[in-house]
Amino acid sequence: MSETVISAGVQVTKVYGVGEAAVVALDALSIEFAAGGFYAIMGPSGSGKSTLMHCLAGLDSPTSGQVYLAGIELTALPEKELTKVRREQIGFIFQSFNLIPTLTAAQNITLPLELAGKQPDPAHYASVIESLGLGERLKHLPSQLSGGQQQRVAIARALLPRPAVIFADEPTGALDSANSLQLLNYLRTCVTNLGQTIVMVTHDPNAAAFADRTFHLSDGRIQTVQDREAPRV
Amino acid sequence: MFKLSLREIRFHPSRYLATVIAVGLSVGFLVLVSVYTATEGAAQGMEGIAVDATKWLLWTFAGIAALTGIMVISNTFTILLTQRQRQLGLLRAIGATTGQVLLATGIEALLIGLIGDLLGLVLGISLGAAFAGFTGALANGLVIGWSEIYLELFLGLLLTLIAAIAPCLRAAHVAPMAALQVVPTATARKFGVIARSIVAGLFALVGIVMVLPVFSFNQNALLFAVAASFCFAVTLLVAAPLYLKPILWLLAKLVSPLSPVVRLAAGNVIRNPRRTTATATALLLAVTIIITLQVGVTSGREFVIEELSKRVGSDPMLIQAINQAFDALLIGATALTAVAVLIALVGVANTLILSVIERTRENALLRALGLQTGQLKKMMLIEALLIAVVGAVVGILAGLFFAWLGVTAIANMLAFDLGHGIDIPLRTDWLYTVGLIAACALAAALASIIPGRRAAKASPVEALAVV
Repeated sequence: MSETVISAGVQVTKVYGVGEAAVVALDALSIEFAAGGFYAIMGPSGSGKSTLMHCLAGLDSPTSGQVYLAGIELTALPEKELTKVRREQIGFIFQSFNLIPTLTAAQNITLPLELAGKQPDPAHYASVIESLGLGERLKHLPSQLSGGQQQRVAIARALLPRPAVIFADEPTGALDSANSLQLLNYLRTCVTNLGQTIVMVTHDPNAAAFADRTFHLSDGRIQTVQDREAPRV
Repeated sequence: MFKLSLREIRFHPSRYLATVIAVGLSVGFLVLVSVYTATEGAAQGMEGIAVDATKWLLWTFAGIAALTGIMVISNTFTILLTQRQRQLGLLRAIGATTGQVLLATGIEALLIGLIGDLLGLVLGISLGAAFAGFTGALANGLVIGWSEIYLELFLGLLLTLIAAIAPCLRAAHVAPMAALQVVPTATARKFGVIARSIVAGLFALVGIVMVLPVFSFNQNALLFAVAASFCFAVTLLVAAPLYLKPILWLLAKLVSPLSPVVRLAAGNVIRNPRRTTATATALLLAVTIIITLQVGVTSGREFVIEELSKRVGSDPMLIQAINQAFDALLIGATALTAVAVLIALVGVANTLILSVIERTRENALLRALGLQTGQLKKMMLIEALLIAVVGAVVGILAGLFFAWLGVTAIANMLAFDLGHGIDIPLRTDWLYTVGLIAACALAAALASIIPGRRAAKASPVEALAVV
C-alpha cells in the first residue's frame, strides 16, 4: 500500500434542509484514502456513510468543505466537468439496479468509456471479462442474468476505465452469502494484484473484514478507525 | 371511491395533463366550429344551408381531431393505469372488488373529461371569437348556440369515457397477485395479437372486395373507394402495433451503432413496443389524412390545368385562379388537420414524460456513470424523433395509397361518363411532403423538451436513494 493520497475529504459538512428541519448528515468530517488500499465505511443507517460516499464520488456536493480525487478538487468543478471525472476516474458498484436494462452486458460494461468517446483497451477488456468469468454472458440483457452475474458485470464496468477509485455502495446487499464471498474476494484481489483503490460502504462487518482499513461513522463523524491486523489469505 | 379518485388527480396532476389537453383540444375544435359559424352566419345573414355546409365541412376535420384524441387519451390512460398496477393490485388485495376499481378509474376518466371539457369550452369560445374578430363578423356580436355546445361538451365526455373504458377494464381485471408484477402476462399479450390480427384481417378482406369495382369504369367508383378506404384505414390502425413493432425494431438496430446516446434512445423506444406503437399510431393517422388530401389536391390541380390547357389553351389568368383556389384548399385542409397532429404530439410528450418518471433511477444511474445532462436531453430528443419519423413515414405511405385509390376512382368515374378511359397522374408536392416530415420532427423535438428537462433535473443521488 503506497502512501499517495488518491481521494480525500477536508472538513466536509453536508446539511439537508433549512431552519428547524435541518439535518446535519456530515459534520466537518475529514478523511483520506491512500492509493492501492481497500477501505470500508461502516455505520448505522443515518450515520452519513452513504452521503459521504456520494460527496467523495462527486455525485453530491457538500454544503461546505473540499473533496479531492486524483489531484482534482471536485468541489471546485462545475457539473459538466464533474460528470467527466465520474466517467473517467471513478468506478461505481451499487447495491442493486446497477445495469441499464436495454443494454447487453457487454454494452453496459463499455458504456462509461463510450460516453467519454473512448475505446476500451482490448487486452485489458479481455482480462477483466476472463477474470470475472463473463465470457459466455456478454450478449445477454441484465434481465437474463442472475443477481451475482449482474454484480460481476457492474464490477467489470467499474474496472474497465482503470479508475482512480472504485466506490461500492453496499455491493453485497442484494446477494446471498456464497455470491457475497465471491464478490468480496474478487474486490480484494483487484486491490492486492492490480493496486486498484476501492472504497466500500457497508453495514456488514463480514464484508468490512476484507478491507485494509475500516472507518466507523455515526452522526456524521468518524468515531473509530480500525486497521486489519493480519493480511487475509 | 370518489375521494380516492379525487386524491389521485390532486396529488399527481401532471400525469393527467396530457389527457386533459387532448380532450380540451378535441372539444375546443368542435366548440370553435360552432361559435365561429354561428357568429359568421349571423353577421352575413347567411342562409341556413350555407352555414350548415361550412359547419359540416369543419366538423369533419374536428371529427378527425377527435378520433386522434380518442387514440391519445386511450394511450395515456393505459400508461397511467399500468404505472398504478401495484397500487390497484394493493387495492384489490385489501378487498376492493373489480367493480370498485373500475368505478374509481371510471370516475377519474369522468373528472378528466369534465376538466378537459372546461378547457375546450374556454379554448373554443375564445378562438372562435378571435377568428370571427379576424373576419370582422364579431362586430355584429358573438353568437353562441348553447344547445349545440352542450351537445359537444357531452360528446367530449363520451369520447373520454370511450377512450378510457378499455384501459379501465384491463386495470380492474388485474388479479391482486399479477398486479404486483409490472410486465403483463404472456397469454394476455398473445390474445391481443390474435384479436388484432383477426379484426385487421377481416377489414382488409372486406376492403379488398370493396376496392375491386374502383378499377373498372364505374359511376360509383368513388363511393367504393371511400368504403374500401375506411376498411383499409381500420386495418391500418388496428394492425398498427403488429407492423410498427418490427419497423421500430429494425430502425432501432440500424441507428444503434451511431453513438452510445443513440443506442440508449433506440433501446428505450423498443423496450415498451405497445406504448411506443400506440403513440406513433396517433401521428400516423393524422399524417395519413394530410398526405391523402395533399396528393389528392395536387393531382387534381395538375389534371384540371392540363385538361383546360388542352381545351381552351393556356390562359395565365385562369391558371393562376385555379392555382389560388387549390392552394387555398390545401392550406385550409392542412391547417384543420394540424389540430390532429398537435393532439398526436401531446401524446408523444406524454409518453416521454411518463417514461421519464418510470426511468428516474435508470437516468440517475446513467448520470452517475458519466452521461452529461445535455446527452440525457439528446437521448429524449432522439426517442421522440424515432417515434415521430416512423409515424410520419408510414403515414405518408398510407396517404399515398389512399390518394391513389381516390384519384383512380375519380378517373374511372369520369371515364364512365365520357365513355373512354382517362388518366389522372398521381402528383405529390414533394416540398410539402418533406416539409411535413420536417414539421413532425420539429414538433417531436419540441415535445421532448419538457420531458428532457425533467429527466436532466434529477440529481444522481436523489434518484439513487429511491428504492
